Amino acid sequence: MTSPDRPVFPFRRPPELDMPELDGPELDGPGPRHRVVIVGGGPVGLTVALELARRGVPSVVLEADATVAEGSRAICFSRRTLDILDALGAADGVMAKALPWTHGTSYYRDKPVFRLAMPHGPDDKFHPMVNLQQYSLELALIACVAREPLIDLRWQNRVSAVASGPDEVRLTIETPAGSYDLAADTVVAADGARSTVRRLLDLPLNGHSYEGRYLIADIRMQSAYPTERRAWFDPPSNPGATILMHKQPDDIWRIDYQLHDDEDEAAELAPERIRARVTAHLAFIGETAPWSLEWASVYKAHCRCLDNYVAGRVIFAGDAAHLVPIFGVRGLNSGMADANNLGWKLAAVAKGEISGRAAAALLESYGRERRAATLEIFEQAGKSTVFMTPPSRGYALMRQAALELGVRHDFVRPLINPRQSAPFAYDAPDGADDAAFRGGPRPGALFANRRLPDGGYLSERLGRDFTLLLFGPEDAPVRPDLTVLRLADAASRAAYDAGADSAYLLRPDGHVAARWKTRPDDAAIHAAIDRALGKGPSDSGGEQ
Amino acid sequence: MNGPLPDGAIEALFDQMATAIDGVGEAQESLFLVKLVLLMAAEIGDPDRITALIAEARKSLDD
Repeated sequence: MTSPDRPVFPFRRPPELDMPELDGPELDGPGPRHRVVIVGGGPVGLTVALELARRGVPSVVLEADATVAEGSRAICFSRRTLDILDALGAADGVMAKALPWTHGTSYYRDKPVFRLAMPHGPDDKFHPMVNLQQYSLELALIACVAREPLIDLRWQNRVSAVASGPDEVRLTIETPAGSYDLAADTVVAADGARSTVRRLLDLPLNGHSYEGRYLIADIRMQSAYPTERRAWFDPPSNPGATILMHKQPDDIWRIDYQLHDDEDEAAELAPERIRARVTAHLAFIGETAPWSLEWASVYKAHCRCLDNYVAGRVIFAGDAAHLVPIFGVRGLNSGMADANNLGWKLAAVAKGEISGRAAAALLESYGRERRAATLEIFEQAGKSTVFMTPPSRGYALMRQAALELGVRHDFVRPLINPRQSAPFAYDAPDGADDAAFRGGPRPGALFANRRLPDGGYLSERLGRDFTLLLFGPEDAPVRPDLTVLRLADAASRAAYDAGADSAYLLRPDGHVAARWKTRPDDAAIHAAIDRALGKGPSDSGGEQ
Repeated sequence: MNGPLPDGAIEALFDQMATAIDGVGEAQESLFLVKLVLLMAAEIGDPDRITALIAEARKSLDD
């Protein structure tokens, strides 16, 4: 079984192999000291690097492999992920191939029991979900990285030791040309579910794992079926268990079937076994075209995460920080949100715009916000997982009753909902809200995208740093890190429950930092920006 | 307390349930009863009332 072309990226001899000793003074130049080193060149690591580069911060990205992900792996990317990619210039590369979708059907045996319809309106630039193989996403990100002189992406660089101290982190890296050391102010560990950095620092992922095992098989097959998520409960092709099916580009279809408790994983991964089971399912759904097996893998569902995503000068993101169940497609999508939350905060610290207590508070807020998002995923995806794989007789009985009733009754269908990924709303800072609002995104929530009169989207106009949304002709303070946008149309005012002199302050990641129903004075806006940057009232006016 | 069931309704329910349980057979008995619980709960529509009824039904002779 092979994946389509995965280019091998050249190994370049790291300059540090021929450099003076580690304790030299150089920083970010051709030397072994760096502000940011990112371990892991997958989607999350590359996105952190691009977020930093966008803000003028260089980074070294260390990738142990010589090429992109093997197998399709994460294949469903949410609208929020696409907006994040779009701001980094990577969305066009993704959308050139990705398959957009809005709908799905869940079946009990052969009867439909749930119709998934994800909202998609004129104010959304991207579809709620698009399907694309993870290696294609990585290639699109790598193309963006190649255009960024600030990003030093190093293939076949494998971390073998980590020493994290109060002033720096030291890494030992193995390469085909020998090993070398780097020192970094900050290390971002984005090295995946089996994170080397996490293992070397002996940090546990706490939580629980579900018993159920699922085999995913990518097949190449021509089919006229549209791009919709399909799920079967107790189909004749997998009695008593589940099957999911997704369309991917290049006539690749993912079939995801649940293994029974008594089935042996290694035996089921044998190509003959997979062919037999896939053949049975394709016959059941009436697909008759010839097909070939491309790739297969077995996974389990976990709800596990680090107690702290920030461990001194090492910051964890993506699967290195958390493992979530596949149902609801939140794994890679939450990793991208991690990178988008971390990037601007780490950039501010790395550039020295904030330091001391404010810097520590800002980076701690990344861990707090994204871990809270992870816990919500555990709750949502946990419900879906329990429904996919009932852990006890009581749950199995309830599921069967819900599925049977779901054929004819609407009220049980929320139980069958796959609970697809949605952006998380962070806790609002004290004093950031205005009780006069009766609608609109609250502080902590994501901004509401709008189609603009000139045909563009609000998402495309947001500032690299902070954005002030105004809804009338009011003046705004002028500062280099503040982009001012005016939405004067009635529909936008309604979406934000804004009057002519209302204002919303957005963070660099598009989440609302503060809002005012009536015109805030400039001091209030400056104070809200300071607060969003982790500066307390005593920190205003500069670094410590 | 007789509750809101009209005269004779409890006798009719008794027969209906016995007949239905016999009719679905032992293998389907639990599934039938759980489906009926869900359908009736949707009619009651009051989560606190439903929780109280579940607790009441869990009580054994000695509780």
